[in-house]
Amino acid sequence: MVPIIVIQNLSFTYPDGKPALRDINLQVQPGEKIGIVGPNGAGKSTLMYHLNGVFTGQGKLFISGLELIKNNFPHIRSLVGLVFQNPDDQLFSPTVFEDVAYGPYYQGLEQSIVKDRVQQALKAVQMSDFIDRNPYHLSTGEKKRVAIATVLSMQPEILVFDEPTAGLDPRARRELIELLFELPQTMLIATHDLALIKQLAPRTVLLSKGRIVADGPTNAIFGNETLLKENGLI
Amino acid sequence: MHPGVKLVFTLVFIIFLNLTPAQAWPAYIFFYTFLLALVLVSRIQLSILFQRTLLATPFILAAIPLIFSANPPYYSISLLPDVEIYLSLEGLQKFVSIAIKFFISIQAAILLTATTRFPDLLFAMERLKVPKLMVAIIGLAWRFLFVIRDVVLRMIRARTSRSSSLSSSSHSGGSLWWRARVTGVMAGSLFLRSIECSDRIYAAMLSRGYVGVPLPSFSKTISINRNEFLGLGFGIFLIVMIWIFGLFTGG
Amino acid sequence: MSHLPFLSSKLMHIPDGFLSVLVSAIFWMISIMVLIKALRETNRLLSERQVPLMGVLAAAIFAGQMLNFTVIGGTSGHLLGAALATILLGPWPAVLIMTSVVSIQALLFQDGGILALGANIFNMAMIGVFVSQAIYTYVTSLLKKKSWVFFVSGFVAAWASIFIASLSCALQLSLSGTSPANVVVPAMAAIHALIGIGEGLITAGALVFIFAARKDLLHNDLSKTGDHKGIIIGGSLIAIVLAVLSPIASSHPDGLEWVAEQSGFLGIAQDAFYEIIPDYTMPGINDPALATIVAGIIGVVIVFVVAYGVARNEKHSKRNQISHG
Repeated sequence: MVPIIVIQNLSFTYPDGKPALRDINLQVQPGEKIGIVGPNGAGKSTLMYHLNGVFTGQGKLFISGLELIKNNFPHIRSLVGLVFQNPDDQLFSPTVFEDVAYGPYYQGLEQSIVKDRVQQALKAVQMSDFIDRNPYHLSTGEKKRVAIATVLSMQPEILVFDEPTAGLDPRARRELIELLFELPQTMLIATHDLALIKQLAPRTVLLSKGRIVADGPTNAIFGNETLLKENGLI
Repeated sequence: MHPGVKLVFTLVFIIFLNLTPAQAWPAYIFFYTFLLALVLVSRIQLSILFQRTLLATPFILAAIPLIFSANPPYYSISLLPDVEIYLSLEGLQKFVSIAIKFFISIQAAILLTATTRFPDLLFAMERLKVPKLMVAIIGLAWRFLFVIRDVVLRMIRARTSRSSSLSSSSHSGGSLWWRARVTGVMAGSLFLRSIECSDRIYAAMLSRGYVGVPLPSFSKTISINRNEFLGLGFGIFLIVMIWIFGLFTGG
Repeated sequence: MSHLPFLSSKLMHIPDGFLSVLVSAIFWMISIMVLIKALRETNRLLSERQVPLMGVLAAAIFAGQMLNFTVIGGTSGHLLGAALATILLGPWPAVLIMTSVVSIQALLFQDGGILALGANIFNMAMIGVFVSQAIYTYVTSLLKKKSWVFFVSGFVAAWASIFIASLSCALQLSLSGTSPANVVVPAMAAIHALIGIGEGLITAGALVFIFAARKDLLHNDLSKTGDHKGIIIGGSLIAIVLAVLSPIASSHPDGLEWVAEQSGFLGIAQDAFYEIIPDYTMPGINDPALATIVAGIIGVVIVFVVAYGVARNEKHSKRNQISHG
């Protein structure tokens, strides 16, 4: 099968000289669900931001066979949906409808198609009744769902989550995991929530100090207690 | 060194530099030499100095029309057989004088910023009788500027990552009005989040014993010692001497 | 130390070297007087709870100036925020907030000079706020009871605040003999008439969101406390005087000098260190009207080049600090 994400020798250094990613190599098959784990500052979010060109480092990245270069950014952003840790960063419209419509509208789709997309996306996250609400007044769990809808409406092939369960109460967390389980897209999930990965992702990538220190079946990695301890995960 | 000394010195330096008449070239050289000496003593990186100067340079263009519009004598330069541009020598000299004053003034300000922590600067402002409420607001604004900047950056990133097109060549972006509106709505959202953030800050301040007086000094109280006082006096004396020299050499 | 990008607002942040010491001193004095009044009023009207609020909102306005939208090519529209602060908090606190923003920009980022800070505070934190308050009050009372009144009056107030402040900035430059009145006034006016539209749209958009999420803030007691009659009259006067003065100054070859002689008070200062107001003519063109037009066009071109340069710089610094994240 042709991998949907190919990362070759990706390195990234912050302008202040602090290296964030070193020589990352990764291939992801279509439909895979992958957990990205690692201690704070391991480079998880930095790696996420590279997947649709919000950050650019040295090395090569291919999404669906398209090389991630400046001219392809707008197109690749329609293929990769990034869901941010804090939904408040992602929701900034007066109504849920407008927030979910942002992506398709920006793409220049027709009004009627935009409407359909919004309805589909909200249905997928079970938030259809909230279409005219103000996102500002929603609960964290509801905001999270709307934030996911805002990228689903672009019909991306890849979904990237940064700490999807952060700040959720147990029930909202369980419902979110059920939702993620049902979504068919290729998924990368960066999180400290190891239980989430165990439930959701058959494959795990362990990052530490900007390097991939382990990449394999979730069961194998989670069974290796020394590895987890060394990397501050337990 | 006491931040108040640095602040006062910088103010005096910039005031007298700007009081120096146009075309006082030798005086400008003395001013700049003096400043460069201080820059070398302070060991700040020259690259920072010039990078920051460069960032502000576009404003110089505002003074360019002087070259073409001040008093005679004019010098003509022919561009094409029938097109001549008239330059005024006086205008050119004025322009260069403004550019030099700008260049030296901004570097004096950069020297101050690069060698003084902002809380110290606030402390100096307090000592120079800037009202406490004003200092408190500026201090809080500075304290939360970087926190809120990060919020804004994340919002912009989230917007960027959803600003896509269907293929590499297709047109996207929506209408100008819509983009402006989205930006405005983001600003509104940022404001509300900031207001909530300020409520939490207020609660945190109360829990640490804040009783409504403007915030305490941001830096430990230090007084100016005798050497610093003499140094400041000598520095100002030098500046005034250069200025008087400039009065005689200026145009 | 990281970089915060400074936007089209840079055109209104006068650096040191561009204002004569006399002009700087005059505007320092005016600004200090207004500030004392603003501090007194704010102390009287607000509880200590508002201190963190004002500090955080000042930071939000500063950082919010990074929010931009693409206009065309490399140019973009931004928020300056004087009108928004005025509408949300009322004029006196807005003066303090904008003063903090402009001061930090000068002291920490060299965006605007230290000697010129008085004039910059006057333009952005005082004219901006007072004109906003006056226009907002007028338009709101004209259109009362309509649900969209906030957005229209917000738009108009924001546009006017930018436009009038830019006239003041241009006149300060020409008073200092830094830039000929017949170039700098039309140029600044033209470019800020455009920038003002961006400011107006962003301000209106922000009000849309706040109206949807926290309607109470737009009817809050904060902006209603106190009698703003003085500010409204003052703001209107400033707007009218500047709007009348600017065309005279820029159409008359010796416009400002003429105005100054008529009013007398600036004439006294003319014997100071060097003449404040030199005679400007466009050499090579005899017809004064044509000269004005040509000068105006040159000015607009220059300002566009400046705006482009700033946009480029800003893009660069934004890239730096985005990757800084």
